[in-house]
Amino acid sequence: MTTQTAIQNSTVAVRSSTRRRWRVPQLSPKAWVGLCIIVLFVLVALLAPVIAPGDPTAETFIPDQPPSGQNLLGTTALGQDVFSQVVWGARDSLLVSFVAGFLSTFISVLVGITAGFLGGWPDRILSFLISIFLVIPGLPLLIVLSSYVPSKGEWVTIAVLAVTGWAWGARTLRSQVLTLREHDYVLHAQLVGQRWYSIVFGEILPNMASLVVNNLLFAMIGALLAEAGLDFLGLGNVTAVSWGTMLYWAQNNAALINGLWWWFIPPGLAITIYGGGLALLNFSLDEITNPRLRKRRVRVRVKG
Amino acid sequence: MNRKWRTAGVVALTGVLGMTALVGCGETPASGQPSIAPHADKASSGHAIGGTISMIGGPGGTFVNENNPFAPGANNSPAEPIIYEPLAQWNSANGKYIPWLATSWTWNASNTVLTVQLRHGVKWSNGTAFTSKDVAFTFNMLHKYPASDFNGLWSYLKSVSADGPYAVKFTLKKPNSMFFYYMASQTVIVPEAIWSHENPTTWVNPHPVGTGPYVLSSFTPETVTMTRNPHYWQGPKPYLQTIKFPAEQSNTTTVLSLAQNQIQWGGTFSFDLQRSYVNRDPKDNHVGLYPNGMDVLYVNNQVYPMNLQVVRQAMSLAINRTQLANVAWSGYSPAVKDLTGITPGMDKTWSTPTLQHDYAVQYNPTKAKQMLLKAGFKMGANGTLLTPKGKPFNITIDVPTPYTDFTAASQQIAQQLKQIGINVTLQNNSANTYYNKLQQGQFDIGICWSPWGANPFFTLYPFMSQQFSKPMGQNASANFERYDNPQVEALGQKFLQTNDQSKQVPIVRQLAKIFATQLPVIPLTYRNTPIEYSTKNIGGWPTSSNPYWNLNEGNLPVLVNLYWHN
Amino acid sequence: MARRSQGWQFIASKLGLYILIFWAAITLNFIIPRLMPGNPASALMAKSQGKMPPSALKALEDAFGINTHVSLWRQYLGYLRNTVTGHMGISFTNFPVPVAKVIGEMLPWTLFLIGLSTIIAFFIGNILGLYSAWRRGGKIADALPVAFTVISAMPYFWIALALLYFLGFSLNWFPISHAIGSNIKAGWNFQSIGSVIDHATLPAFSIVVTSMGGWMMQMRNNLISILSHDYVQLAQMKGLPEPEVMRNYGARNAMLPVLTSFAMSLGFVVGGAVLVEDVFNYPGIGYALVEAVGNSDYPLMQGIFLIIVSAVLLANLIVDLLYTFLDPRIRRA
Repeated sequence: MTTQTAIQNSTVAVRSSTRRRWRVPQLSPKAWVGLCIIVLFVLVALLAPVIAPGDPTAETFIPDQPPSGQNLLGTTALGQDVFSQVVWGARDSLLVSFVAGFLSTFISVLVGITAGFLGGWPDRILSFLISIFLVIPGLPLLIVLSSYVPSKGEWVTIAVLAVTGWAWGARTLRSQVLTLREHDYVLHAQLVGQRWYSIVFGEILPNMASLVVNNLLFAMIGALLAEAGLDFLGLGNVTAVSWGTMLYWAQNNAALINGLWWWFIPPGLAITIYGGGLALLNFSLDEITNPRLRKRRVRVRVKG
Repeated sequence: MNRKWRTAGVVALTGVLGMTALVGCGETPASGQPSIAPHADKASSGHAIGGTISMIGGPGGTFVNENNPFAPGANNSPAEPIIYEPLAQWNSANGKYIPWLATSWTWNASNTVLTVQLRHGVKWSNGTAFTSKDVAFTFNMLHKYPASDFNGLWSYLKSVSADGPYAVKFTLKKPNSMFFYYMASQTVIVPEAIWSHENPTTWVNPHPVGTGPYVLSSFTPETVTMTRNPHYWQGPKPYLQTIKFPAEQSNTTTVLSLAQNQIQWGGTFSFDLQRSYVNRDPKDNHVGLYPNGMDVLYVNNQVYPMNLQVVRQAMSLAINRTQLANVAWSGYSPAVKDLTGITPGMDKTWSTPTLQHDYAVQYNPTKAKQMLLKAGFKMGANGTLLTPKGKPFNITIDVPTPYTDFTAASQQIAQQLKQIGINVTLQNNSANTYYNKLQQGQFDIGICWSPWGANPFFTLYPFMSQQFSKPMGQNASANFERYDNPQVEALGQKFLQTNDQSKQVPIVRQLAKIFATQLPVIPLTYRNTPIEYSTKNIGGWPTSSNPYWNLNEGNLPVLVNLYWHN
Repeated sequence: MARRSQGWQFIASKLGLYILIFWAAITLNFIIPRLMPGNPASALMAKSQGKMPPSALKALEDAFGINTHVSLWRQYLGYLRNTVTGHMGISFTNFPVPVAKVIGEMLPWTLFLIGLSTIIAFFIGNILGLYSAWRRGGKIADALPVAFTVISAMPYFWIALALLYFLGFSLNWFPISHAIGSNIKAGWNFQSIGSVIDHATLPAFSIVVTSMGGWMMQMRNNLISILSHDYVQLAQMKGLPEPEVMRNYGARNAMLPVLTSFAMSLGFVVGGAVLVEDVFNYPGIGYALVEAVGNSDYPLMQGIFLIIVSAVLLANLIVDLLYTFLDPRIRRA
């Protein structure tokens, strides 16, 4: 999650000097790779019943089998098909990363824009709230919160992730709004008496679209990793199939010691590839948002 | 979780295999060595003293230096059970009590006064003598501090007093044949001179003084080290010079340490120990399975339609116990053979072949479905049964997610019950919430372990008696399913009145019959916690040819017999 | 004189903010458990399987200090007083050992592990970041950010598990659990320190690998921004030697924002360390937190959470103070 810290910090420095409207930015090859990975995983999740028909938790196979023609990724110690679990697990992991990512970004946008746009005492209160959630370490808070929740499920995890994950984005967006507010076109819009919502949606939001997407992608990676961590600790819904719970069961049913590498490598790899896809897309978006990162520095050497 | 002790049931460590409730027997040796050495004759000649064993000591996590057996916390220092000793050890391997700090005991004719004779020449590790005053003090202390009276002794006791320096007299309010087990084998004795100034509920006891074979020599949160007590009353035992308890949290690291022979004695529930542990050194690495009770499916008897006997019977028929045992419990805990609640080992004395035959476990989902249809249930459109009241048969199974074995078994049960048309939803809970739901009766079905003790009565009576129940919403102590049957109460009172086993057996058989037909809870498997141990450098373990002790019931009687060899 | 008083004003306002945040965090810590059901005393009774009479429940509850009839407001005041005076209650699982003592034994290991791996990650990450920005266009320099972007999306504990299994168990190069050998007494001697480093290698490595990408990316982005400023370009045009431009104009200016996130990132590293400690059986507070959660040991959980929050707050405060003296702009602001 430190990447998140770092890159978001850097985007704070981004100042958009020209007025921009909604537009689709040109994508670099890296972004395309990232996008393809994400689309691929979304397809896998949607088509899970077609790709791996049947209940992924069904214990119908011979346990402890290495990858073979029948079980592409082998079987678990409980006699479940690992491939089928990886495929179905995409549903849970993607659902959590998407919904929690969107939710926390939504809160970020809401809080960030409200604070930045209104200023005054609402800004002071919201900034204080942001500071609290910025400083409180996310994962320990997540662990404590989810341990208190009496019943576990994906939606509980999502809610907890959204509640703990919005502060970075809110801070970034707030400072961006503060900058934008001083721009001529916003001041002009205010002068001509435009309503606040038309200023927000017409002038401010379009100009930070890429920043919002940036935040969304980070929130999604954060949610993905945090959910995997919670599930691995057994604090998520361990009876559902997700990549994190696969690792939980692999760890608890001695996959490592008994040499069942095909049980704990694939889910971790799935998280890495999907998370890597999100990160690549974000990396390239960052280059777009921050032109200095994209442009190659012109090296001028004056020989003397 | 990946916590070895977090697999359910290891909290309770009492015995189950007892065949006799021989309270008041006069045939016990009057003094000298308890005769439980692997080879009693050789043991007296003794082994060389020396060597170190590393072993897992109690619930996971790092240690805190708290050696108080009467503090209500779950994590104590692993040193504590080796420092403090009870009056007698219940040996479920042969169904007899081993005289320990006591040498003999007698009941009066009306079974209300118990006189216990104590061993002479026992010393506390600070050199002072162990006397009847210490014993009387320990029990009276529990009266004063009820939060430390884990076994509820003072619900039976009227008074405890010393009767000369080596005898103690226990007076009961009324006869109770369960009392001796809890008093003698489940309560340890502490020195009056030290404890009289302390509150046993809240004292940390950092420098423990006991009668046991080892004394605490060094303490860190990661490793507790104990050395031989040279003044131990069973001298020249113990033979091993040092015991080390490394703190282990996860299954994985524990089994890895066992496999590397860094630990010689473990108690980890881990999948396929044959492969991960035994196969690495088949000559010296062993996994012992020692029974300690049952795993049962609690069924709420107060909730429709589970309050109908036929529903519970159908559920029992629909559960494939072999699959549960082989997969969820990795083959360690075998499926129950019959529904009587009498576990193997106890069955010879307490059960009969007829009972075992009549109530043998069947797996027959088709028959289960037929039974329900005959009782007025209907098949709904989507494959879910409709109750006679016309509602879909939807129930929830509560799952304690920290317990991986229960979680896996719950998932299987949900799938199996679905096959006969009962729609089971899984509800995940933290362990704490789970206990609360069970105790308060706020559940439909859920797996938990059984109560147990010196004989089947310790299982059947708490399961079925209203003494252990409470109205819904209040905390029951054992009868979570809220089963109510006046016949059980009458039989229970009869049993408690007598210490005569020949009178107790028929009562237990009647209770077993009620249990098997009514199925207030549904027995699933006989609990076996695997114990890993290495014979590479250490000898003296109980073996199948000489099973002198059940390793699931405390390690003290085995520790004194272990010795080092090359 | 005026300048200095402004500096103090800044510090005072920061201090005030942190005290407020601390208050909010401890209040949160007070409220959360009281919103949730469950009673550890009755859980303990359930484990005794019917042996304990219900009357003992009351005694247990009194011992644990729960289910009291003291009003919530008074409980809160008592809690505030105890927190400020360092009394964090008694751990349920380790009853009657105070939470402060349990934490006291674990905290040094976590500080050591996190401190060590953060410092290593900080240096390697920043050096790689400098390199990658400076040599932009080069193959390695351009591949680095992409590689670390992907690595940062790996779960900490998964890498830890793989290391544990391959390097620790299969190859037996490193110890697989604990912070120090069981035969070694902790102390300032060669053997003891060697054992501690040996035990910390794998856990620290898994934290370093997954966290240094963040430092690298940040340093790279900052430096690239700075290098494109006119004054740097001017310096280059003037023909100043590259290393000197790099040092005087680039790295120095890029360092300040990095410092801020050094403190901020501690919170994240602590989170990752929880999982890593769990995998490696490392006796730090992360491991204790997971233990406490498993045992529903609420006082211990609250205590650990409080310690983590306080540590991160303190780190932030220190960085803010440093900033005041390092960066003149803040004093003027």
